[in-house]
This record gives sequence, structure tokens and C-alpha cells, in this order.
Amino acid sequence: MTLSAPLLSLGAVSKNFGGLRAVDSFDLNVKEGSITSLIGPNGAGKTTVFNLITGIYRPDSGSITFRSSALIGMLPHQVVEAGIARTFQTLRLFENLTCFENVLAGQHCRCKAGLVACILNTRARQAEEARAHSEAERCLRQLRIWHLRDELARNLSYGDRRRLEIARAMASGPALLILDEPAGGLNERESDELMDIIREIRDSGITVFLIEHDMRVVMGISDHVAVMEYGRKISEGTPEEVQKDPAVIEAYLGTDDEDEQAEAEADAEAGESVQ
Amino acid sequence: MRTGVASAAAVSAWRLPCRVKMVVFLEQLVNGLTVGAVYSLVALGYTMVYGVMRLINFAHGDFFMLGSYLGYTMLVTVLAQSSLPLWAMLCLATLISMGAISLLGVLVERMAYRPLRKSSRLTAVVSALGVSIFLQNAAMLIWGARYQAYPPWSVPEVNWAPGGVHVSLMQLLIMGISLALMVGLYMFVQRTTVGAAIRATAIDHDTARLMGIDVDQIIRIIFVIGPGLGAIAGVLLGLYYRQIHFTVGWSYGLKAFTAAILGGIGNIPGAMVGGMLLGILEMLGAGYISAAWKDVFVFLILILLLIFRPTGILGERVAEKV
Amino acid sequence: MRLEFTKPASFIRAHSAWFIGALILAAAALPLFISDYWTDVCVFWGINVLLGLSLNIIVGEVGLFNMGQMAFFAIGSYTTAILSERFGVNLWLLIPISGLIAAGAGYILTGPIIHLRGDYLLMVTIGLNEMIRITLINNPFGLTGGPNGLIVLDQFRIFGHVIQRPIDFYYLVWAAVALLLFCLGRLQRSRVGRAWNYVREDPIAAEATGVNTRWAKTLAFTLGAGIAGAAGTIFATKMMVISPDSFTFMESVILFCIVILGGMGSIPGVILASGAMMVLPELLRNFAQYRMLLFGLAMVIMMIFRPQGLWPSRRWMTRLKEGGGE
Repeated sequence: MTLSAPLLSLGAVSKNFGGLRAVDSFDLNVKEGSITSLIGPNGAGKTTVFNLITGIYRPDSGSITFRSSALIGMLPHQVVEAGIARTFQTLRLFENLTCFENVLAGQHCRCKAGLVACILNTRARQAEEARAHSEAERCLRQLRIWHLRDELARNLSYGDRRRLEIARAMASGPALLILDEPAGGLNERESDELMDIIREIRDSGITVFLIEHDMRVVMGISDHVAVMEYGRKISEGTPEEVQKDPAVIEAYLGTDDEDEQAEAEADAEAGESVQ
Repeated sequence: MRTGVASAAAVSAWRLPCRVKMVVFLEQLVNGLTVGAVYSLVALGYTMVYGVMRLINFAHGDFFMLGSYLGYTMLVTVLAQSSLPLWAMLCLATLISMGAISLLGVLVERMAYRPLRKSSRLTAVVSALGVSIFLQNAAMLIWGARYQAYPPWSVPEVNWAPGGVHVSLMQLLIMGISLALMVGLYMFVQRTTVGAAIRATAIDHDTARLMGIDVDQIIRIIFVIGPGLGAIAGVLLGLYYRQIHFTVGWSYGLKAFTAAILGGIGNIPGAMVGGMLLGILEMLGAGYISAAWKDVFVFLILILLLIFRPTGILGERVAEKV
Repeated sequence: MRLEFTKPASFIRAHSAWFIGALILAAAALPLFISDYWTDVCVFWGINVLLGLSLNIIVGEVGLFNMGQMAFFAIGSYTTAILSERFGVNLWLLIPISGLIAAGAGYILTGPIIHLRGDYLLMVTIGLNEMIRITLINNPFGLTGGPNGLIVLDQFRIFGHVIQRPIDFYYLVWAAVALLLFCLGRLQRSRVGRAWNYVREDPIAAEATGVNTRWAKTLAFTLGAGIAGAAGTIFATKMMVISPDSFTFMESVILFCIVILGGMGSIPGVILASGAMMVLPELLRNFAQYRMLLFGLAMVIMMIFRPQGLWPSRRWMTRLKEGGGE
């Protein structure tokens, strides 16, 4: 696995907001076919890294390469077209559309029909539409929410909403799936199921790159973990290596499990005051 | 009417000798500052409501228009019968109009905006449009669709011409009163407890409420001050141009809103600076480019501004958080 | 209240073929039973429906606040008047030509402003509307005839039959409405229509899911402007005299409100609301001067008690109930 070329690679990426250096010459390689996790205290700049990759922000310096082509300067929808799909930390579903319609959104960039083709309802458009529908169905089934297809997104339970967002991202047929805290707010059973799903996604050939706070999930599914603090990468390696790294223990994990929660909360406050 | 004269003089401004050119320029500057002062007063109403409620109060221009009409009615009916000196009549007309419009402002807020405070932004905007259409048509039904004119005796006709630059008492009055009101408002918002509460509410309603601020009360205060200032501006403008019409609410409202954006919406000094600047730009545009195209000029400024610097001159840039 | 409206709507949806057939028959037969005067009212209703539907694409489907739609209607009308009177271009040809010119204007004018936030976009479109109207008044290059406007003397001819009576225009206008409804119905259920709705729901999520939001917005604006422009040809021919007064910003506001009152994104809502706007004042002639007063009042009351509109589209209804802001 170490021999394969990285699918995504970030080289010395930096981003400033006003006086705050949110991401500070950050390097990372995401290997094809792996599950890579990015962890770190709140306000460490993890979501900013995701926003830089997906084209929502533009880095001040550095390079982002995906399948050996540069991503910087692409608009978010072009990044999706290139093969990177994402979810949001705070869920951003199309609340008043059905689950099925939500997932169809992912297929939008894989279809070509324009205004005229849609009005004339051409043969090509019908074929394309049928393909999009079957792809959306496949994603809904994979996330085990096919039975909810006609529900409005807003009526779903929290766990199902998380899954719907993943299904929507999956529907664009990505090579790399970026998940921003997929287990956030899920209970233990739900996150167990989520871990199964993420492994399944990886096994189907899609590389997964995720931010997560739930250490049980991170340590349970990751092939590779990177740790961020104050915009910098402070450690990287297998879950076991990272867990043993003193810098990580000091910065983030705390001394034992009981302290973890309190520590995270304190960090959250610190992170907010920085922002 | 005055703009007509001014621009007629200015059409050939390019061909005049140098000293006369300077005089024309200065006169246009004075005209611009006068109109700009009125824009500033009206812009304050937009900017305060927007700052606190994130709502473009489309009805604000109509408060201004109604203020102008009320001042007119007071002058030609009740006050014309009295034996008061002119300055007292004008003060009374202004004060009564201001009080009535403030009351109307509070009423409109209570009836049309408060029930919608938790709704989507669009709903409140449509409601504000509804209020505006209602007030405009009410004015048309009450005062008629034709122009009304402030009586000639109501306007103190005192003029000076230092160095050939024509300046009227009315122009000085408008600039002086506007400046005094704006400085007063700025002090009120910056120095008093209520002002601090207004600033806190503008940042975050919920947090302000947690700090023990009565947000409804603050919004009510905003709707006393804004329309009140608008009414004063209305009377001043009526006295300046003499003619008033039920559509001036829209035309001046749009320009005042442009002024508010120009200065940075939600920002009180910004509204003052924006108003003055817009007045000057408009009058110079009318003088040196073309009077017929001056409104196009103003809207062009608005559009370019929103494209290139939507936060205005004094506003801060706020990034949308993802 | 809500149930009373949604139940017949779902019933109609279930038996749509029959209802559409009956509706077309009734609409076709209607002018045979009413006076020329009322036929004329229906003609203007139809023109308003065309305009309302054109704006509904922009405001209802994509959620862009456009209060300057009359600018594109004006461009279409004036294009018709100028090309018809000066160059004798056939009116049938002028429908697509006016549409294309208005669409082009829409594309160019909205290019730099399409990314603006909701209420800012609203102000800019008001500005555009006023700029176009003032330009028409100022009579650039002697093209627009200034405040008096232009005349259109040519008439539509079809197989030697001249379209001039109210009943002729009735069929012309409502045939155009039917064609437009067919196309919009197709679009609503297609990739393009869905993309519009994704943008309305959450532009950032739409972009991050692979929807080119700029393309979706520009397409909606261009299409909406084009339809308004094409409607301008019919309007100019019907009126025979067009002047800047027909395209004031107040008219744009009323159109905007028709879309909102009808229920954003709801096609039957637009038809209903513009009908109410045209027909009710005619029924209540004595109240004609109070028309706009009552309209303003109705807008406030509607927003407080029925913000989802007269005939809400399913999606928009659920959205406004909870509110939550733009």
C-alpha cells in the first residue's frame, strides 16, 4: 500500500483569515483505497483544510493535487466533477426536497442535458435520466435509507440525515469521499453502523478522507491518521502510532478517557475565542 | 424646480470662463450638500432598521413622503390661521409631523413587521413592500395624485451670494439641522445606555435578550427615531423644493438607500457620509454630464458599489461561514 | 385553511389529464359567452400570466429576488415597436427576436450581479428597472420616442386572418400561455428544474454537490428575461402604443408580489394571483381607486397569515412554515 501514488496530496498549504493563520504550511498525502482521518482540537483548522480542497476557499499558498492534476482555482462544482465529493459538519441538506431528489443532486454533474433537451425530452435525456435514477437508488440502498426515498429530508431522524448527506455525496460517483464529522451526534449503535458503511465504501474502491472527533470511530476504521493543532500538522501515522505520540497526547487526547470530554470542551472554547 | 435652473446653467458649464466655472462648481457643491443632507437623514432610517432587524424597510421612503405632506397640511390649515411668527410655525409643523410619523412607524412595526420577525427574510420584505404600497396609495387618496406646493410665504427667502456663489438660508438650515440631528443621534447611540443596548441588539438579538435587554423595546425606539428623522427630512425637502408628490417616497427612498449602502449599511456615520457623497455626486453629475441622466448615474453607482464593495465605504467585510 | 387548498390540489393532480382537457375546452369556449370588454380583461390577464410565469422562474424556482422584470418586458416591447415600424419585420418573427434580445440583455446585465445576496440583488434589479425606464424616456438616438413612446400599427396575420378583435388576441395570448406551461412543466421535472430548486434550497450545498450554481442562476435569469421579452411583442401589438409609463418599477413590484402571493414556484398560483389582480378590480369598479391600497394591505395580511401563498407549491409551503430565514 505504501508504494501506490497518493490520490490527493497537499503541499505546504496555507490560509489566513485576517490575522489568523488558520492553516499553516500543511502537508498531507491521502493514499488511494485508504481511510484517512484528520483529527485535532476544535478550531485547529480541519474544516478549513476540507474547504480548501473542495474549492470553497482558495489557499494563500501551497499546492493541492488530485490524481496528478492541480485543484487550486477550481470552483466547488468543478471539484465534484473531478471526483471529490463531500459532506458538511453542520448538515446541509435540501430540506424541502425528498430524499430521492436530494440524492439525484449528486448525479447532476454526471448528466449533460441542457435547456432545449429538457424541454424536447430527447431520447438521450431520457436515457440519462434513467441512469441517474438507478444510480441514486443504488446510493440510497447502500446507505440503507431506500425505504425513506419519498420522505422530505427535513422529516428524517438525525442519523438518517447524516446518511442521506453521505448518499448524496456518493451519487456523484467520486473517487475520493470527504466526510466532515460523519459520526457527530450519533449514538454508539448508529456510529457502529456508520463504520460498517464507511468500510464498505472503501472496499468498493472509493478513498475516504474524514474529520472526526469520536476517537472510537477514528481508531476503529482509519488506515492512516493525521493530527492538526493551530493549523499545523503535529503528527501522522497509523492509529497506534498516533496514539503513542507524546505531542498528540499533550495536544489533544488527554491523559485518560475520563478527561477526554472535558479537554475537548475546553479546547472548543479556546478554539472559538481564537476564531 | 431649482435643479432645473441649476442644470440649465450647468449645461454650458464647460464653455464658461474659469472663474465662472469655479462658481458653477461651488454652487453645484452647495446644492449637492443640501440634497445630500436630506438623503443622509432618510438613510439613517434605513440603516438603523437594517442594522437591528436585517430588513430593508421599503416603507421608510413613504414615512418621509408622509412627513412632508403632514408638514404641508399643518402649515396651510391650522398654522396659517394662527398669528405665530414664521419660525414658530415651521418648528411646530416639523414637530407635529415628526411625532405623527414616529407614531405611525411604531404602529407599522407592531402590525406588519413584528408578527414576521421569526419568518424568512423574504416574507418580511414583501410585508414591507405591502406597507409601502398601502401608504403611498393612502397619500394619493388623501392629497390627490397631483403635485402639492408648500405656500410661498412659508419659505424664508433669504439669499446670499458671497463671491457670486448663490446660497440660500434654506440650504444652510437644511445642512445645519441635518448635521445637528446626525451628531445628536451618533452621541445617543455611542454614549447612552439605550444606545449601547441598540448596538448590542444589532449584533445579536438572543444574546442581547440574555443580557436583559428588551429587544421589542429597542426595535420600537428604532421605529420612533428612524421615521421621525425621515419626517423632518420630508418637511425640509418640501420647504426646499416646494413641490411634493406621493411618489417622492420611492424616488428619494431609493436614493437614500443607495446612500446607506454607499456608507456601509448598518453603520450610522456611514449613512451620513454616504448621503452627503451621493448628493454631491448626483449634483455634479447633473451639472457636468446631463440632468436627464442623473438618476441613471445614481443607480449606476449603486450597482457598481454592490458589485465591487458591497460593504460600502465604512463597512467591514464579513465572510460567509461555511 | 391549509387542508381546504391542498386537498383539491392533490385531487386535481391525481386526475390531471381529465382536468387539463376540461380546462382547455372551457377556456376555449369562454370568449364566446362574454363581452368584448371581458375578453379584453382576459387578454391582459393572459399577458400578466406570461410575465408572472417568466418571473416565477427567477423568483420561485431559483429564489433570486428580481424586482426589475418589467425592464425585460420593456426591452421586448420596444424591440418589437422599433423593428416593426422602422424595418417592417414580421410580427411572428419578432416574438422570438424580441425574446432573444431581451434574453441577451438579461444575460449581459445580470452577469456581474448574479452572485449578490438576496436583498442586495433586489435593490440592484430595482436600479436596473429604473435605468432602463429613464433611458427610454431620454430617447437615445431618437429610437424610443421619449415619454410619448412608440406606436405599433402592424398586426399579426394568420392564414389571411388579421388578429385584431379581442377574441383573436384571447386565443393568441392563451395559446402562448398553454405552450409556456407545457415547456415549464417539462423543465420542472427535469435536471434543469431540479438544479434550480437545489440552488433555491441551499446554494452552497448545491455547489458542493456538483451543481454549477452560476450556470443555474444565469440560465433562469436569461430564460425569464427572454419570455418577458417575447410577451412584450404581444403586448406592444395589442396596445398599439407603448410608452415608458407601462414599465415603471411599480409594475415590477406588483409582478413580484403576484409571484409571492400565488405561492413561490407554483404555476397555478401565478395564474390565480394574476387573475385576482386583473379581474377583481374590474368586478369591484366602485373600489377601483382603492385597488392598490387594498393590494398593499392584502400583501401584509397574506404574509402574516398565509405566507406560503394562495396556491402553494408543495415544497415552498413546508419551507415557510418553519421560517428560519434566507
